[in-house]
Amino acid sequence: MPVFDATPDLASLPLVRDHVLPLAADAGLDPAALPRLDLVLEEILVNVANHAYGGRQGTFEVECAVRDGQFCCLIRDWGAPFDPLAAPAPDTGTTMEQRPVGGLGILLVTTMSDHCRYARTGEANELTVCFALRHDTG
Amino acid sequence: MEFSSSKHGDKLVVTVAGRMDAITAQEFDTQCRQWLAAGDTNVIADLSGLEYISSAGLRSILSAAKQLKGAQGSLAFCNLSGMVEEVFVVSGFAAMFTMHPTLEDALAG
Repeated sequence: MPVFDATPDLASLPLVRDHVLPLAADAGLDPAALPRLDLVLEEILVNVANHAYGGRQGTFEVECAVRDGQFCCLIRDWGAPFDPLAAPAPDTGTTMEQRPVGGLGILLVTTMSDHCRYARTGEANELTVCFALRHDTG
Repeated sequence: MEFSSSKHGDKLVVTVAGRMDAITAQEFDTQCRQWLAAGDTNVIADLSGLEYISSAGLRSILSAAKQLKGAQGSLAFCNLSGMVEEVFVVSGFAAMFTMHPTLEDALAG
């Protein structure tokens, strides 16, 4: 599948969606899972936009593939090494008054995807998120 | 994202439709400041028309809720479905906020 690349900013958000969601639909991802994929892509892109390059110019790319019955997206940037999956999970059991604003993006990535993995490969951060494809249709 | 609102006694019912994402979410916070400026502090958000919400949306909602609480008000929700309901459950927002299945329940509560 073609690789998408752009600068990590909010303007790229609709472009990433328009690239990835049709690929996922063509690959047979359950329509009910598409909003979860949409969400996971946004959270990762916002994370890259806010943290990867510390204000410097940079790029990211999204590479999609079907592998082992899953639709997978690899999101790659060349910023400082950062494993978002290593961050401690937020406390989701507090009252509204005690609850800090923010910090929920990665929790949504890990719970809404079926599988995710981080790797530092050379100079790149590579975050792979996968969604199971259903096999009961045919 | 689109908003419309109507008064029901001392409660302001706000219907939110569309996508609450990193691009649009700030609008919820902005709307909240307008409710406060108009003296409306007890708000019920009807999310039946909301198709999508991300952590940016949750951030804006929590910020608005804290402002309303600071004015001795409240923020409750009704009519969640699909991925919006899922995101509220996963994030703990469904347990943290007053949730109603329907607007009728919200107005009675």
